[in-house]
Amino acid sequence: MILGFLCIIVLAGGSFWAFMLFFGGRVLKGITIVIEEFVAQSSVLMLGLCIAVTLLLMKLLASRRVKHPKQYYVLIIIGFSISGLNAASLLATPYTIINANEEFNDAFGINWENSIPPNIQNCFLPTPYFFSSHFLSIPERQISVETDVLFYTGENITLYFDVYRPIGPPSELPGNGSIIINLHPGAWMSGGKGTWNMISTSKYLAGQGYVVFDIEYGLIDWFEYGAAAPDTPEYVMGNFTIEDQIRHVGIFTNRCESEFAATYGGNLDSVYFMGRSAGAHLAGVAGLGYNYDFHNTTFSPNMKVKGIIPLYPPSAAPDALLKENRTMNPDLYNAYDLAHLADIQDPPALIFQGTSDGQVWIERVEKLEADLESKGVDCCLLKFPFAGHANDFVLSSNIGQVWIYYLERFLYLTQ
Amino acid sequence: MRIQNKQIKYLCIIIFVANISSIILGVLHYFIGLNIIIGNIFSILIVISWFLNVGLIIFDEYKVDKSSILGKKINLLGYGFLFVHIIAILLLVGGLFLLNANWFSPLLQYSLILTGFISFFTYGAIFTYFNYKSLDSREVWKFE
Repeated sequence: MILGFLCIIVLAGGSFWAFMLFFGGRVLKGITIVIEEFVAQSSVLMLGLCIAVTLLLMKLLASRRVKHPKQYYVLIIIGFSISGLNAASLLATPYTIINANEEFNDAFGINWENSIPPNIQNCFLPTPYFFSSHFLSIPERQISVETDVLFYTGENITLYFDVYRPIGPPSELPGNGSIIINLHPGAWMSGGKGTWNMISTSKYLAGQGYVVFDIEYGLIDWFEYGAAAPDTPEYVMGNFTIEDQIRHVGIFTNRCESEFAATYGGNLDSVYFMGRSAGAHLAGVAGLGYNYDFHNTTFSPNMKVKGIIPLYPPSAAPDALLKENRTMNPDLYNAYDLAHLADIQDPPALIFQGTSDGQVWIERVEKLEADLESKGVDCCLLKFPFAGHANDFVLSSNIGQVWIYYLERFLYLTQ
Repeated sequence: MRIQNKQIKYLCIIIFVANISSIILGVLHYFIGLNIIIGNIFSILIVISWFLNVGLIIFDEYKVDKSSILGKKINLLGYGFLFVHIIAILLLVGGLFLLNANWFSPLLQYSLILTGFISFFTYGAIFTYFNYKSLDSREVWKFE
């Protein structure tokens, strides 16, 4: 009796998971915009769970098969249907791959795959998706990790970074020591380096020969959006605005140029800004605004930015998080608006976006892509059907694997 | 078409081999890395093994006489298989999500993943073996 009840609860959970897959957190809002972050990347496992409990129900209700066959078979059909709906994200994987190939064909020409030499291809994922890796994860290469390196003290905060880099000479790997400056998510007011900034992706890229700096920036302590990430460090909180956060990123670029690139073997002639959510907006401002007059003293002038990688990016800063609002100071607003910052000299962009994202809507990201392309920026938008916000957390999921497959190729093609 | 004892025996052997092969390739996955041929074979093998294991559970549900002592045992083992299935999934979810946690030991992260993966196929192999061994007991099966 209790077991049957538990099975029904799991199936109810499976129905909710399926609902979230199709509609994301946009419909129900509230806590569901946080829950959606876990849904698509665990939906294959939810599929397995729902099938297991349906089979369990079959066994528990075996006596009803003869006495009440209609009830029995309806329940079993419902169980398998819920399981099937949870397969939506997995079944959409071929579409994701076709779409990603088309984006790469547009950006790099139809022969882009042939321009990657075989010895480099051997270092990459051989195929966009292995079902086996979904469960066993992607094997890690030996890398070096150094955490909590101080790069800034002032304004009552201290800022640290973690660095992930290859063991051995990066020149023998696809990354060739290119630097990736990785900015964490958290709605400009929470989160932090490490766990919230997808350690497994940083490790993977370090194994490919990239020097990944996962950096902190000052967080806005007076802003509240949803729920703050649980382990947000207190020592980065302050009375900041987005201008300050970009300034902190700029401080890092200057210190990277003068010290960290040499210390960790990073190549200043090939630098990428990568970020997630709010961090994606900051990465976009840094990568597209590098040559924009408003920001010309912010970043190190001796870095060559080769690409930006915004994942689920807001296209502009919320008015309230700048020192002056859009009406009072339109120039200030424009200096943090990605579409406005873009020009033909800007590096290419690779964007990750889930179609069920309830926090950063797909329509807005599609508009951002169109705006960037209209300004002459090569842009690849990788759309992941049924994925919500932050759905690159599990590197080996059907979403994570496809993302990594194209990310490593984008990085190599744009170096 | 009548199902014969011999056909089920062959099927059990196939399921047993599929389970054991999945375990071996699961361990090799970490040593030989990602290879397109082995990776694809492994992916197909996992799907086939899983479907065959689930198929065997459903088959037992319809064809095992649970009033016999051995039938009861097979039925209980079937429950055990589904519990292991659920626990394995929870371990896999935990392990895969925790790969990003800087406060969790990598050894434990991979232990969770491997335990989840191996326990499922090991129990599957044991369950299949028990089915195979009991196929000669006429009082257990309804198909002859």
